[in-house]
Amino acid sequence: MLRARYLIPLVLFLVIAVFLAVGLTKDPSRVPSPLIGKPVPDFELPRLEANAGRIGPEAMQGEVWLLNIWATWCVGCREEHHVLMEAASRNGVRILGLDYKDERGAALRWLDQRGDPYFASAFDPEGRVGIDLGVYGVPETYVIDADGIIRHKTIGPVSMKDLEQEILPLVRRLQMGADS
Amino acid sequence: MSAAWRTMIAGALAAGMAGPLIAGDSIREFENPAEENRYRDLLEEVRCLVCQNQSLESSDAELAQDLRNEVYRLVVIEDRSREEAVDFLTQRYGDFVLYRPPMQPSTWLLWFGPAILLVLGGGIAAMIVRQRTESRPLTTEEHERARHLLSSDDDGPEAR
Repeated sequence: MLRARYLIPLVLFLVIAVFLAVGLTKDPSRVPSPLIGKPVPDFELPRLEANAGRIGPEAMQGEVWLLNIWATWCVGCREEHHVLMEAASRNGVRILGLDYKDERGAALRWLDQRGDPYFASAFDPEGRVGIDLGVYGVPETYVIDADGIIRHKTIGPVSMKDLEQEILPLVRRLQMGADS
Repeated sequence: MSAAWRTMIAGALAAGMAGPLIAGDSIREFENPAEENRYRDLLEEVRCLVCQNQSLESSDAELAQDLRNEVYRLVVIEDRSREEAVDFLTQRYGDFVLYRPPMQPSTWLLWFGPAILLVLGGGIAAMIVRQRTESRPLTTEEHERARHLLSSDDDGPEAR
């Protein structure tokens, strides 16, 4: 009877310890996006290439695509660039690039030198569309289905592991769903 | 007043005046104090997602500057209510941008947890205190033992 009472602090301690341990494994900078499961905000931005018309989600309607927000000043974008190249060239994923708060010349040079994984690039120097998408840390990558619904969001650089284990399987699943 | 003093004071004044000009935001204009209050209140209530422990008001991150412009546009230029501005932000960035999370089943523990813990802790403390202060008269045997302990020279095993 008395013994059981002495166990209470220990049990409380263990419960708190488990909660804190789980908390430690989470990255506080990754905030869940409220946009998942919702339609991608509509926008129409000038293409990155000067005087090349405008581009937006409308052009991608009916297919599964990725929206990648990047900038030349962003270190994480450098890190994920080869992963996007892989996704586009080897796996044939269509990626719409959104060059966020950047300079046109620098961005074009980047694509020229490193390779261009994008089906098309939109240019958002003021970051207005970024706000509509809830962008707070570049790079960010969205998986969008054929109906224009956001299915997944990666905040921070996409790693090869993210691509192979999460993004590609999801893209394939969504493509199959679209076909049937 | 000597010339040196005058220069120093002029310098201090100039430095004080330079402050608002250096800040990244353009100077805000308000039609009335209510508008300004709505704007300032919101900035204090909304978290900057880049520096998460700073409000939009205090953060110097570029995103915070952009969001200050958005909030200004919403509540001052478009004259929308506070709720509409909050909706605008939470639709894009989630409830996490609010320092005061909304009351909903998933946040009940957050809202009421501290009060529950306080009541629980207070109850336990009260129980312990009551137990300790409970007193009853000593039995004859206990009286005898106490008298024996108090009168003997033996101070226990340590003293030997």
